[in-house]
Amino acid sequence: MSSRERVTEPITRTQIVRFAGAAGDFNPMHHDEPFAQAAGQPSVFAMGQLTAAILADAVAGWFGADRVAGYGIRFRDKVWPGDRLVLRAVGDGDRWELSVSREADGAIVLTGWLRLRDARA
Amino acid sequence: MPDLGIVVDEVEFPVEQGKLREFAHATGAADGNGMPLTFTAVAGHWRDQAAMVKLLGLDLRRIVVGGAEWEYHAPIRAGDRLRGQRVLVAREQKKEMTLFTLETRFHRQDGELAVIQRDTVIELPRR
Repeated sequence: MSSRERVTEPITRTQIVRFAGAAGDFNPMHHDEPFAQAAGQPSVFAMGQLTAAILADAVAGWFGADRVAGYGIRFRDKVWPGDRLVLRAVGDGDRWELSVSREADGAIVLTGWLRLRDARA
Repeated sequence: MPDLGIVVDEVEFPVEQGKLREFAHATGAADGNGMPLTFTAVAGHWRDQAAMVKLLGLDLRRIVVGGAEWEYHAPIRAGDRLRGQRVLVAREQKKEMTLFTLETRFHRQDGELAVIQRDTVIELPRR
């Protein structure tokens, strides 16, 4: 078994808004602070697809995007502005387990899997 | 309850250079990593999610997105056009939650299957 790891910069509201524009997710929970607070949240939070895309970019950097045959993720917890994320892949050959956790408290926010086209690692 | 195999919606859209760059910047992507693996999420721009919720007979207040997966078949490049039908392929009861799997097979303009995306939508129990 081997592993890959990367820690992100803190997630920013600007980044969340930029992703809303990129992906077309304009749920106000992700960009409208008064709306999110009225719904009982401490602030806006990142869309799961943003975390999925950040992890996917790390995966592409580690293994090469053209080697990826399949990529899957499950959302486990919310990601807040200011969170630094620990992106991790553990495995060998063509099968890897993925996870994203909050650096501050270690909470898992996303788990996933990766399948590569060949066993070169 | 709609039957499995029902077509929820159909999208067709261009893979735009500007959208690609915005997507990559939002994730802090390193240059040279190529087409973002989850780029088909941009189909959200071309979809009516409220219509999907209504068609499946779901209660919007109890809906969460559980996860997603992608299968890669042929490369996508800026300038391509993608088209795909979103189909309800599975429905599963887990305790009091209902899990719906929606599959979109994205084809390029030349007809080649490029990417299959499956989204899991969860309807939480009534409180």
